[in-house]
Amino acid sequence: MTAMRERTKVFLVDDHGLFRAGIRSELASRVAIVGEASDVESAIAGIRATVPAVVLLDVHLPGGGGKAVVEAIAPELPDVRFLALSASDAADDVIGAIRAGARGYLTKTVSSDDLVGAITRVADGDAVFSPRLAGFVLDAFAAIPVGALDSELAQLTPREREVLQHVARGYTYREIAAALFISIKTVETHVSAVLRKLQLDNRHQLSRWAAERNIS
Amino acid sequence: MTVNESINVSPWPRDVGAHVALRRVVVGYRLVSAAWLAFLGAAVLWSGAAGRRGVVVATIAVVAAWTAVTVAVAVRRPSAFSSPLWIAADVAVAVWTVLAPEVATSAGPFAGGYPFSAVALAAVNRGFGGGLAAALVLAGFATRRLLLTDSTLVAAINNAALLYLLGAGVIAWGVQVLRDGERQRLAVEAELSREREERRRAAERAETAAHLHDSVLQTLALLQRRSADPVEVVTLARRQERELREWLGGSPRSAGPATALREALEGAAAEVERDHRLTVEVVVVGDAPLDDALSALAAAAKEALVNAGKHAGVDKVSLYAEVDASGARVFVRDRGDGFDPANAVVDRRGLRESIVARLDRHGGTATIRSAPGAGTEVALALPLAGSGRDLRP
Repeated sequence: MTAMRERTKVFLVDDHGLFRAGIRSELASRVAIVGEASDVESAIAGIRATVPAVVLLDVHLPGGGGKAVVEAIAPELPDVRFLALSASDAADDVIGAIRAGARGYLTKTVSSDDLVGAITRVADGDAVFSPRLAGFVLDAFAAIPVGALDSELAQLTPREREVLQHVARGYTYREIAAALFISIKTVETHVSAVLRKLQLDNRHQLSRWAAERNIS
Repeated sequence: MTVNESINVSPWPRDVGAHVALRRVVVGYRLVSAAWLAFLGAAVLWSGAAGRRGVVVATIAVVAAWTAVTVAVAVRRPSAFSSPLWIAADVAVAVWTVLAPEVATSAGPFAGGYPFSAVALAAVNRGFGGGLAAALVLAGFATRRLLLTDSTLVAAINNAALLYLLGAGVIAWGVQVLRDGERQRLAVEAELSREREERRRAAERAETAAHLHDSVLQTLALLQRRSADPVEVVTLARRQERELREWLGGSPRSAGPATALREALEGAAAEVERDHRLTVEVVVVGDAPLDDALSALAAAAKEALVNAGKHAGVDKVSLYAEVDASGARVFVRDRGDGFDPANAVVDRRGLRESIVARLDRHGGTATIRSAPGAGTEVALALPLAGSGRDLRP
């Protein structure tokens, strides 16, 4: 990250005008907000027209939910990254957004600084794990019994688990790196690997865990 | 309504209860009248009154087969009864039963009540138009014999023709009356259930309004009055958010004491948030029913939160807990002032007394990691029963 880098192009998708206005005024000086939309259809059209680096995406959206936007855009514009935002703390919403392809998840009470940090991180291709998301993911993988078929692919490695536990404990990536004597880049690699397992694993117990909670 | 117009009337409502019941009655009458015809035909054969016995036998067979078809249609696809094609075929069979005695050179008719069953079926399924069309055709064929046979049959034939016409009219009228009555009743019921639904919605709205008034509006009023104090504003908003979530989730925290670790930790966090103007981010992975040891763990965690609230000088604390087969672990972390654990002053004795000692009694451990300026993390660990230690008294 250089000081001279261009401001990140951000597209806002939320059905609450008041919330969009709030985010816009908080972020206007720090990122470039290139457009906003209030439903799935206009979001897809707007993202195609503006091709932002990051889409701040509300999980609950008229016309199919945030998931529908990710599924429509991801195949044609793979470089557009999604950061899910929601007022909900429900595991279904959190894991559902990630499984659809979002690179991270934040609740709407997040501070401006944390939000800008998360946008930058997602724009750089990294994953953003809030403590809550880390907790849900640990819960999800804990549901998989050790020794299940293909467990190497389905399970978290001990190191990945350790990193997630530190995220859940409120550690930043920098603090995790210091605590585990690894580089920040390695922490990011572990977190991205977890994200990939979560998104790609459509087999076994994780999908059953998801199905039981109506996440597809 | 004329016969021609009746072909184009809109489809008869078939989902109406009275209509279904009437159709069953008419199909039942068809069965009875077919048996009646078979009985009369057998009598004709027995008495040797027919010249061509084969025609009588064939007529009985045709009526029996067509009656079976009628029952099958009634069971499988009753809507076919109102098609003009069905009525034409049905009336054709009935016409044959009227003409058969003549062809068979029988001394008297043996159709019995069968032709009328065709009139009734058409009247029930197509109303006045269908009934009258069937009645006119059958009456025409019946009276046609007036020109050919002797006068002793005239009265009987006239009676039959009159019966067809009047019967069709009466049945169609009866169907109309029943159908109208049923429609009215359904309309009244729909209106009643709509009113009930509206009352229920109104009650729900009133309840929601009352709740929002008692909670959200009060908080908003408080927020306006305390707007100069940002910490207070955050605390109020946070408390309201928590409460509203519980209400929306439909599962307000039970009034009694907590029964599981997650509930106990969330309750402790809410209490500390309220008393110490602090935001506690709670993440719990796994859960276990609360016993003495886990209660002690929750109490120790609360003590750690209170400590952070009092001494760390921050407005946000993380609480992470995980429970698995081997035990329970809780981490309370702040990014506040920190301190040197080796030099804990009297004021920090809460840590030693209520956290370390409390866990020690249940075989657990407490580790405090802190340094001045680097924040504090209290790590609590408790082995669970089943891993070699019985934690119950």
